[in-house]
Amino acid sequence: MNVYTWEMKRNIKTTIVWMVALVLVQLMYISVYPSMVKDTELLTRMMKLMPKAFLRIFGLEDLDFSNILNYQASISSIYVTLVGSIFAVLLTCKVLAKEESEKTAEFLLSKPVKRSNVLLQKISSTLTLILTFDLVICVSSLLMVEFFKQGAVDYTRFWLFWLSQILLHLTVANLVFTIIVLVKRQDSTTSFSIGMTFVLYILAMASKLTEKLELLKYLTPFYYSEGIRIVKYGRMEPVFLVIYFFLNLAVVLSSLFFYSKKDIYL
Amino acid sequence: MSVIETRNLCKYYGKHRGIVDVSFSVEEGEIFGFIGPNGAGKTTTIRILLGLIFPTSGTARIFGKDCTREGHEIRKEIGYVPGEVNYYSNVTVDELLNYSASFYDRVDKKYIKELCEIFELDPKKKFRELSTGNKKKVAIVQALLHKPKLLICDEPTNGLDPIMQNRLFEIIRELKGQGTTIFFSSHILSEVQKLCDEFAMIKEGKVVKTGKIEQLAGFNYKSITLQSRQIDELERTLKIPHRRIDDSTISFKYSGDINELLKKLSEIQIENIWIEDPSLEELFLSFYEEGER
Repeated sequence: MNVYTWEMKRNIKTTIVWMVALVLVQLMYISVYPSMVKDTELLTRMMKLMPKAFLRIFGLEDLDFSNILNYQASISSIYVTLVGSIFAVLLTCKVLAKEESEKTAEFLLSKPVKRSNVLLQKISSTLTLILTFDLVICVSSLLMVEFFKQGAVDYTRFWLFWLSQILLHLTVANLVFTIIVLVKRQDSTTSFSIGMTFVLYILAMASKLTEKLELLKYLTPFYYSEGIRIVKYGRMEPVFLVIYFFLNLAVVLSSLFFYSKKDIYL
Repeated sequence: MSVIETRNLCKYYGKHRGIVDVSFSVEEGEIFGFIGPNGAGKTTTIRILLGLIFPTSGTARIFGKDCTREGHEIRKEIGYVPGEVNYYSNVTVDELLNYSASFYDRVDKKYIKELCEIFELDPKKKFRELSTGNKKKVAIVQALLHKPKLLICDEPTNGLDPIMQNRLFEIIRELKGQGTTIFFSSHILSEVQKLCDEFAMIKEGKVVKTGKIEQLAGFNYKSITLQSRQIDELERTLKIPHRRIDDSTISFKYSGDINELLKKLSEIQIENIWIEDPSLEELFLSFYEEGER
């Protein structure tokens, strides 16, 4: 438990900074909602003027902005889906990659703990912090929806949306853990992981562009957790939940396995 | 049973050699000097012992347990002073020591305080604010705080001032008295001669020689180089074999009474003088020559 506590203490400040920033961004966007909703008709007409492909890749086709959840999901596609994932990447790199790049692994791994135990504690603390981060912005967004809503709100959709985002962020973190474990030296793990996140994000958009590319959607968790679709249809496809489950299981197990055998180069 | 036993330990980094066929054993309660120049493979060997890296072939056992499979058990009884200290920069010395202590079962908080006092450490300071020497001291304290049965030191005197070096040697001798085994890696010959009971010498990844420290006694000579215009006179009085004369400079190895030498030197006019311990390189050369014969 000591590694878990240590990581929690060391990273809670950064997490709070990210949380506050995201809450403020959300607040900024949602506070203009009431004035926007008055002109929904104008907005819908404007949307029709935009290129179809553009609307499709951003999931804005036939989106009814008189429902506050739709509005929030479209804003969150960047500020929660993408930025939240970047936060997960950076946090994970700080927790594990830094240990090697700053050579503190020599201290930690010469202590009487198994490698798998160290990694499990680090994964747990990272997931706890991400969960805290998501729960706080989820609750703050609940309060904002309550305050700014202009009609009835379907809360199942609201919770489903947040479940999908939490799953995404946790998965991104687990993926990055595996990358760090598999990479020999940590000089560019952070930038590589951020790059990978963007590529996955773009893949999700591309998969919506033409039917030829549709199969891409299975390759990227950003599609599984596409907030706008989930809010629009009020469901998350079971196949994606299954993929999430096995993907996480596979990456965590392989992280543990390879970390136990890894030569730590300092 | 040996405390440390390595058999044909090899480590390759891709094609690069780390260490080749390293075999030695360290018995309980002794101070074992592991000596070799920079890049010889001292740190590689230590990292295998600690389980930071895994051997390409061969075995390493500590307390009879395999370093690869039972590393976490072994490390309960090991204290490790790294050659280059890299700890979490934004925590205080106190926090770091407590974190270190949290990995062991029975740690005496009073003992940590005592150690900090011996090494004159300020526990409230952030690690990043410390000088190289003070960082080293933190490393020493965190290695000792759980009273390990085996202390592994990788060039522990690096960065310490002479006073602290002596204090460290005192502590190491004290620990030896209490039955602790000490593995002492160094590239400074005199240090190993002063402190250790047994030694292994490593060069270019291979152990060149192992044995009792007394076997190094023949290397108690000093390398002397001096500049003088009265060299001829000096030659007549000293009669040293293997001298090398270059213009007004003479260099030779001297293993007799140092007082006598100084008396004789005082009789002539000297412009410059260097008195040095023999270098590791010289030592290795003589071992190689011995091996070839």
